[in-house]
Amino acid sequence: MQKKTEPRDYKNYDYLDAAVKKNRINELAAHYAALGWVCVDSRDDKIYKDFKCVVMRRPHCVAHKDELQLLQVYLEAAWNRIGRAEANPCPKTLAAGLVLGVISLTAMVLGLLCGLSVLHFINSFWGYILFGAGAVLAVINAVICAKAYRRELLKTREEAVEAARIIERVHLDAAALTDNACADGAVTEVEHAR
Amino acid sequence: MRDKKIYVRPAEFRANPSGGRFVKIHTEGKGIGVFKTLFVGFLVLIQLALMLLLFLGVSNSFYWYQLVALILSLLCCIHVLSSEKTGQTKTVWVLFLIAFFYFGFIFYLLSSEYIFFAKAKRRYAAVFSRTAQYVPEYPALNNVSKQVERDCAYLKNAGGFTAYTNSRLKYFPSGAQLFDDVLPALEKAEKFIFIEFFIISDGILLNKFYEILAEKAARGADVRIICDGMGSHGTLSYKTRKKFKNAGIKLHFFNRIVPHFTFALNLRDHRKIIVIDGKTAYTGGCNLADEYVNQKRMHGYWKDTGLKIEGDAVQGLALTFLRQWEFICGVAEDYSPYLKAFPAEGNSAVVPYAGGKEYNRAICKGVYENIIAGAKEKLYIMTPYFVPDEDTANLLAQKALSGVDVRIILPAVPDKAYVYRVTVDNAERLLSSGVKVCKMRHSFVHSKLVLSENCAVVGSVNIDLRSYYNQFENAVYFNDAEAMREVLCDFENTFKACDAVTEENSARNKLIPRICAGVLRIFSPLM
Repeated sequence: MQKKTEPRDYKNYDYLDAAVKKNRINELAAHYAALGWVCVDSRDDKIYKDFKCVVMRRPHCVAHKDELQLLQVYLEAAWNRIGRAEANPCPKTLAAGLVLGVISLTAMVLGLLCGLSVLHFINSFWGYILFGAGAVLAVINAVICAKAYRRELLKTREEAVEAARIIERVHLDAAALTDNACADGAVTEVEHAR
Repeated sequence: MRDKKIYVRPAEFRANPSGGRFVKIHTEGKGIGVFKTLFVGFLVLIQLALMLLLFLGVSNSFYWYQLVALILSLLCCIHVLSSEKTGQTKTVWVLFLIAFFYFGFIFYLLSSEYIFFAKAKRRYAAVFSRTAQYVPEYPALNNVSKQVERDCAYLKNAGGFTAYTNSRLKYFPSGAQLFDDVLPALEKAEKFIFIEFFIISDGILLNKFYEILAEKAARGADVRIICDGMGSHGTLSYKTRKKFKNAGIKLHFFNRIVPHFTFALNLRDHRKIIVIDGKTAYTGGCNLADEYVNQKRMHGYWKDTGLKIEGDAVQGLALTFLRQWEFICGVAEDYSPYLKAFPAEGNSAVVPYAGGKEYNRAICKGVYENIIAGAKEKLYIMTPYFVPDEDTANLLAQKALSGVDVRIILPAVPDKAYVYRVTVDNAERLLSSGVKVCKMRHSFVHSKLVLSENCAVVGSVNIDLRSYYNQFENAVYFNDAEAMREVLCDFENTFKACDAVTEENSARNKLIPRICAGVLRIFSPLM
């Protein structure tokens, strides 16, 4: 975990702690720099060797702070969407497939065992019917999941592309806000009553 | 002190417990608050279970009990139907009394204000009677419209709230801007500082407050803080409370949580008031916690509002605070040193008002209804919860049907899923009447803001039954042109960050959300 070495000046600065993969620091720094954050400290994470703990800082009184905060939320939401899309692109299909798969497998196993008179839950005729129903359900499940998987994957990819666009737009909007602030000479000053 | 941590998980790092998210805003918390809440909740459940077991034992021993219970429950139903409760509340109570006639009447009697609130009401009446002398004379209101005159007259007649004219207002469209103005104002305090919040939470913002308040208390200023017993019990640690006490800051809880079952637990102090030397006051939707200034990430971007008052109107907020303080501490004192007038430039009507059980009517609801009824061109509302009674909902629908531009901004990110489901459902029901509903993207809208062409209200009052009937609230009604312009600007900027809810994309088109909302609406009076 990150060890604090110098006291933080919460009166004049806002702070943000992040743990990032070492090969992603530049990407993170660029996105947050557009929002006015500056990296002030970084050290290796003691537990995860491929991670670095980064401390970022921004002047507390920064122009267009509310807009920058909102853009930061958009950025993080977009990142999370991309991360979720890459980690598990079709969660609904997976969940439905698993549930139906378990049901059909259970029906098939129970049906087979009853049909072979190993279990006497129901008579063997109905056991084979149950087995057949389970097999049919398994086939239907496979067909539905295949179609749903393709549809959901496409939708997830579209969302990921949209999220990437949002990240780009946020980057531009944030840069515009901070540029405007620079032009007005108000980057580090409180924006008083309008 | 809490620090924010962001865990950035790249695509190839799959073992992410947060479901594949790249960025996780993590705030360290002690978890004591959750433990305490669960413990108290557990104790209350045990008591209810014991009461039920005892009750079942007694009732089974006396066969005639069932008949007596049925008769008593029916009598309670008649009492409910003849009472002044809202239609929704009456329906829920009658349903409860009939379905659970065995013990329903006992709950109904215990929930009666005449039982659990009688003593407190007498104390409040005594405080109000003693402090009536401090209410200033009602001024002549010149240069105000008839609607504003009527609204001010309502506040005067319903709650004894004076309209002030020599006051200056400044509107803040975010909690960060509000508290950035509050802190320098606190540093200039000399005589007294009054602070009242529903939630006061350990964190960076509270530490900043503490540094200033401790210094002021050390220099002899009278620093008083009221926080709600439920809102702050899990967020304000014992260590912090002790630190405040040792610094000479007087801190009291309103209606502390007790480990026994009582309907009084439902009454909360939801007010947000800061008064500094009787010259400056602040109010709004923000509590004293890091999430309100987006220092801590909860529920996306936290949208909030605030209002600064300078001038005579500060007395209104000071009086509200002092009465609550007297009620909590039980010590009567002379209010004169705290209620001096410091007129500021301004010629609009500013009316700080409050609502709660100490008043005989639902004043906050009345104010909103008057504003809605008086709107002829536009009516903009920002609220985190939209659980109105049928009167308010019908008024909004009628206004929209009459051609008034009625718009409601809701959060897109909920803090309480069950209330959110009902909020969205209630708002979507008005779509067919022409009310425009939108949700602020990736944000939790905590603002309680109403604007019409005549006036605006900024305060702590949600558009829900809890704020109307169960909570102690405060707000400021005003028709200051400059402040209203700032409020309008905030609405227009917020509309741009919203997604419209239409009848096509409404959740009411889906069966399961409709069923869930329908079931949850039964509990609306508690939301």
